[in-house]
Amino acid sequence: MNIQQSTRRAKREEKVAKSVVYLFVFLTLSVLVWIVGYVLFKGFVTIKDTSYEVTPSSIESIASEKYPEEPYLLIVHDKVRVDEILYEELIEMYTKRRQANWGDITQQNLKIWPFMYAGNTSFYDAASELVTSEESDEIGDHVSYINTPEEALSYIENVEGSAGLVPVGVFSEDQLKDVKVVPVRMVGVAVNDGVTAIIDNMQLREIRSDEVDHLFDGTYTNWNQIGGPDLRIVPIVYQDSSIYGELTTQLGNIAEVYTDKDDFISTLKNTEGAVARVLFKDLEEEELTSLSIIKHEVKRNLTIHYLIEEPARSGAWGGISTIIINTLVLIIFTLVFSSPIGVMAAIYLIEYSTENRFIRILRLGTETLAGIPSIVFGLFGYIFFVELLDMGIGFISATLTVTLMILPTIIRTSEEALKSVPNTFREGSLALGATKLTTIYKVVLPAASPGILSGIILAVGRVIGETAVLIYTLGSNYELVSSPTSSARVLSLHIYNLFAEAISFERAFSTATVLIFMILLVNYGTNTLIGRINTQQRS
Amino acid sequence: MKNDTPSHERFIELMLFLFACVSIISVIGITFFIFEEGLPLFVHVNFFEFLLSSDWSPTADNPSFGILAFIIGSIFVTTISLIIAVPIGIATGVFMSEYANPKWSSIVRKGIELLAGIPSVIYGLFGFFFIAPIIRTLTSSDTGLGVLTASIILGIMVLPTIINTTEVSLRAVPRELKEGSLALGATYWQTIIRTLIPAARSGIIAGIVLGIGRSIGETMAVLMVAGNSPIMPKGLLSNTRTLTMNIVTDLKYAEVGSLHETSLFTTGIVLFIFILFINLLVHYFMKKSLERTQGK
Repeated sequence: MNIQQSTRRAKREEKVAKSVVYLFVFLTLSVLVWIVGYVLFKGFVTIKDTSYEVTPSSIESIASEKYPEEPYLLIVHDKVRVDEILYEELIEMYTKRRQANWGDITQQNLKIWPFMYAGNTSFYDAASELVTSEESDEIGDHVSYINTPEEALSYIENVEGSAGLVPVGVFSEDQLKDVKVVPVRMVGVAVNDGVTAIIDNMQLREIRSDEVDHLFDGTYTNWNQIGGPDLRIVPIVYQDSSIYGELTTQLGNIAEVYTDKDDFISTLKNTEGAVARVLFKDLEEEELTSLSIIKHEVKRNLTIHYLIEEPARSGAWGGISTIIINTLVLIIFTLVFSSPIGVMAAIYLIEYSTENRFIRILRLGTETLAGIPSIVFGLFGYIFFVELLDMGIGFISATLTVTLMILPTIIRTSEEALKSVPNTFREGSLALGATKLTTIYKVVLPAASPGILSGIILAVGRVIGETAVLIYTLGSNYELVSSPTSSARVLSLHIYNLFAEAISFERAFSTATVLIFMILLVNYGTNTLIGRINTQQRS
Repeated sequence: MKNDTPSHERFIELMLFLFACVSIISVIGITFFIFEEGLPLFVHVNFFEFLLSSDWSPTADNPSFGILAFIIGSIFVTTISLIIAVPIGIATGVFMSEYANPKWSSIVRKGIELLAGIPSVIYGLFGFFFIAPIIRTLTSSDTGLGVLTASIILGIMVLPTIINTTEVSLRAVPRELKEGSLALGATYWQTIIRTLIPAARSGIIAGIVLGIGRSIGETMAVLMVAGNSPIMPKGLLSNTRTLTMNIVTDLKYAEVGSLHETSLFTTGIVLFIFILFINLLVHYFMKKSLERTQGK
């Protein structure tokens, strides 16, 4: 009975223990999948809620109030990656004192070259009314004026980063067919003051973009349905022959329609709970209260452009092309220094040395070097290479410091590889009359080469991921490394800088994705090599 | 091959010997320069005050250099990270050497290699954007940054080290021990826990100590998730600063040649001594483990 019980208990214990072990293994693997998946996901996709002054709906042909019969299009150069533009960005483009850059809109480092169609004064007047506002009413010096449709087309084709407002009327249909037209988001949501009043410490300031339509189609009838005060929603609409005309077509029929603008504005200002779609410009000019609109955005993050463009503005604009090249250059130069030293050290330790106290000390040295944290290497590199040898914070200091750091990896794996070469190889070669050096060079090294190579690739992996050692030896210049003493930035440092200076977290993740792909490549490389060694040994 | 004269060979051998000395020379050089830069601090600052005061205000009019808070921070974070990593690491090591079939063992091994290869900045990003928000919602912490988050990240980072050494030392246990135990009627688990793990004890401990070394020396990941305020950590959710973080953070704005800069090298000395001590421990346990498995 007793024995049976204890057997049963042992079996139960066995089961429990086994499931705990499996659970922990599962945990380890899921943590890995989670980390890699999370970084890759964030690297490729950005999901966030952004608050705008205007609704997501965009309008392609825009017209000013003074010249409603003259619709305009915003055309841009082909290379500008812009799908739509905010009205405030359009105004800024033309009126900013310093020339604006597409970087603020599309993250590509490209100056904006705006132009205006000024075939005659009325065209000029109409366009300048569109691109100025009450606050910024002066058109910048960098804006060019163009007088014929042909000239406009050739400007937009030839000047990189160009953008221009052109009247549709002067072009024939074919002429605008191949030109990139950018719609403008220019409609805001204006409300009566009472709607945004603070009640019980709560204030309605923003609404989700998908809720905007529901304000007008009768789905919502009271402001308290979306977190506002207990007021009836009174949708009103202004209709004229200009863009406002276009707005009404998007509406249901429950809204009250006004055709006189002053009447419309005063109704909006005086009716409790009133809401209307109003052009962004009027929000400002009529001093209307408006609601911010939250748009849920899902965007692609890492694109091919990010890989091939040069960084600008501390990495906020452009891509990481020079940083990728810097990383590769650092890897190559570190390997140029460290692999010969490491492999030769291993050859000495395995082929020449006899086990004695001194060799043990050499081994202990390698072990100790492997255990030193990278920040201590950083301190050493900073004080020795940067300051004492006066190499400055730059490429050469970083290379030499990292060389010391990865030396143990290369020495150890090379030692293992050399050890695994069977002694019969050596004996055979020596028996044939070859000297020891020839034997090593012609017989042992070729046999050990896959193992040595896998160690070198392992070291590459370490260089790719290093950051702490590089902060005070490599610096943070993101331009292409041009001389041994020039400061540079590698991928891991770039991630840290994007993060620490809060420049762009999305970009930190896209850079991290690139880094993870490099690591995957390195791991694949070592695994293939080790696989080859195993099959070699079996045969 | 007549041109391979003995003197030529002797020259090459000498070259190889010199290259073999590079690492020990580097260790000596690093030790020398860190000490040479850091020790002068004690001319101005009392040795015990440096180690036992937690008042770090290096740029004040009346500067004070006390790194106790950072030492405690380092030890605190490392301890918690090992509490997390050791059970998981040993269990996975046991799985790899005892339970897994070749296919699974190769999958897990590749996974662990990848885990070991992920750069520390990426761990930092993950900790800041994924772990910290979870901690923030689960606890009363305002930012989610601090000892606990840093420990979780470090725990993940030292897992590969512990798993690898556990697996290797378990595999090195002679087969006879395992077979003997099973033949005596012990269950598989009893064999693992009562025979294999005790036999592989030294190797496993060496792996854990190696993990401690990695944890204490880690800089970037903890820098991004530990909150980085130079105060004595009061609990799991408290912000903290470790020795490594102190060096990275302050070197950025320490004036060249100032006492402040010197004190960072002195912080480096403390870190260095920790690491040397840990290395010696690893060395000791490794040797013991080798003696155990070969001695029988």
